Amino acid sequence: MTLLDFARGPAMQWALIIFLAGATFRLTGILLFGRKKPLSPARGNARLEGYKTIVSRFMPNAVFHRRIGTVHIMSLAWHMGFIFVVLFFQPHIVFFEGLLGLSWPGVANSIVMPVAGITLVLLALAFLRRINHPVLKLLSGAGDFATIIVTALPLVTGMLASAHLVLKYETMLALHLLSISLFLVWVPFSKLMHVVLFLPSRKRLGEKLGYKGVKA
Amino acid sequence: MSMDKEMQDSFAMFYGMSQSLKGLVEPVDMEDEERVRKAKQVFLNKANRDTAINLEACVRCGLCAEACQFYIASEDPKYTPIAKLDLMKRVYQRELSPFRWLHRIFTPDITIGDLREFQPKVFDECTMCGRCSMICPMGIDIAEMVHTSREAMVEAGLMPSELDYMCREQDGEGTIFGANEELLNFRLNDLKEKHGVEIFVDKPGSDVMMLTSGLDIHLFTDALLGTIRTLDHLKVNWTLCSHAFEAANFGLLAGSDKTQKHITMRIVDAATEMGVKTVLTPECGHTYPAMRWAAAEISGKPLPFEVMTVSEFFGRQVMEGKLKLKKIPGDKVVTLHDPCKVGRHGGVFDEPRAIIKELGLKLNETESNRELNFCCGGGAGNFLVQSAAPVRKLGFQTKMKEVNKTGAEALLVSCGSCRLNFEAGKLNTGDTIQVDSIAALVGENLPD
Repeated sequence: MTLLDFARGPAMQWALIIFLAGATFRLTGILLFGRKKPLSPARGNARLEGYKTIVSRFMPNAVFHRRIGTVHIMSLAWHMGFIFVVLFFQPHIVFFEGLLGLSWPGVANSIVMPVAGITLVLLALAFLRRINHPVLKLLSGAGDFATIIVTALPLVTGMLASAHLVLKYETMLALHLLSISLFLVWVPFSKLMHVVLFLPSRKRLGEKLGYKGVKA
Repeated sequence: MSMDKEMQDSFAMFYGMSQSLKGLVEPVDMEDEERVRKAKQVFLNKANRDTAINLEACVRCGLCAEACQFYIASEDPKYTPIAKLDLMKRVYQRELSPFRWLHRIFTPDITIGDLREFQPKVFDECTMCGRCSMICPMGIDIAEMVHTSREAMVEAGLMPSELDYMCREQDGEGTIFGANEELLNFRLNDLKEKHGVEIFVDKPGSDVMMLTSGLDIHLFTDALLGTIRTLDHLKVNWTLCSHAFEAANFGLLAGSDKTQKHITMRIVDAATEMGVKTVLTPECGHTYPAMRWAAAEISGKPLPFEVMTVSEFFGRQVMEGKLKLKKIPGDKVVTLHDPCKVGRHGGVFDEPRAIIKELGLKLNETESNRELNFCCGGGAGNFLVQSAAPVRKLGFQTKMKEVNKTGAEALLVSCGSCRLNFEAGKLNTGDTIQVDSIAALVGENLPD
């Protein structure tokens, strides 16, 4: 079995199993906690505000733009860039088709590669901000830096593999697949779980404020 | 209306009294191990699905700091809101989280040193204003968890002595600042003699049970008078209850479950016994969530009456066309402070604005208004805590920067604690803006 065979086969399979089982276990464990239903009459529509908040928190309120506008735009661009590269790079679509049986039109390499490059630069800036900003220095632990590295690796290896740089293509592709496996395994045990948790978290705040007639 | 000579004298006396509470009670004597055990027990008992989602969802982006008035004024990372939850998070991760077996390897247990280090973080350095939740991209309710952290400190015997004193007075005498039934009667008779208002105490068959506060009895008598005048004008069938008139709830502010429950149930029981339809809370910010949102939970069943705060009650009367007010002449420009507990934590926004419009005043909003409003700087009982003074000043600076930009001649508030904090802040910073009570303004501008 070559490195590529290993990366495509057992490594990816186990990574997917750990990802799905771990994420399900963590999410179930959280949702199994109880919560009392409020007894006071509501002033507003809690459920509606909950759903609205899931969407509205993609953009901060205008009053915060001056303080966090740049950081927010960079963060939004990073997330959109990452999702774009994952979903619209042609070889990724082939991979998803093999896994899910679904496919969709891809985007030319001449567009995907620059987007991947910008995304990687944004991630590097996020790293620099984390090591320099006083608040982030206070909050950050090893897990935060590990998350940045684990997230950057698939981007770096993917770009190198596509450009046939540094190592033989097959070897770099294997490293790319292994880095994706590492990313998947890391999700349930790290803050990367926010890809799922942002939904109940935002919804719940919206519900709590909406119940009181307050826009979240 | 600015403070007249009588109120200025009262303010000087009352403010002096309120700043002299430190050390009036003996610190709680408890073994260190017991303090840690009790604090952990609170974190464990209070954990629910909201706590779990919130603590698991944080990505440590630090944006919450950018909404905090203390951080904005100082740029000191120690005020970062989410960092105040570290102890709670550690207990959650080690004892309750789905991956607790893994967290126990990397996450140290909390110690007495941690509790002492975090005590000022959850008291002095946070007013639980909740503005941080409004910026958080994950929607984490930090204020609620700071409240739980305060509860843990209280159980561990580490409440600031000023708040401890207030809780003990409320537990024992049922009063704040000694404002008992005798003093209430003195104040009511004084208002009756000077202003000819009708006073009702323990009147059977009343529809509305009005609450007041030691702050209004001692100091902000204009707010009390305005409320009574307006109720009389509206021909509301109202009463005060001689054994349940004090609205302030230092249990809620300090994080003392026992005190909060005791004070809440005294009001709930009295209102239920009198069969009133409405309990009217005074211009006392935290009283509103204590009664409007928390009282039913404490009672364990829905309340048999509705709860409204003064600005909400009068504002609705204005909005329904039942309360007309005289226009204040001179195109006066004002700005409005939405008290955190009435606004962001209460949902009362439109009603005070309707009153301002009815009074013919021009409202220049602060840049951060309604649910995004800045705290006065001294909320959650911090206006009494001596060690919180420097932090209060930071919060006040942030607030006043926005207030001053409005160009308003007066700042209107519907919370006595905020008003007290604004008046005290003005003394320290030299700000001169007039600070007025909404209830007082309504009472002074009733049609003849």
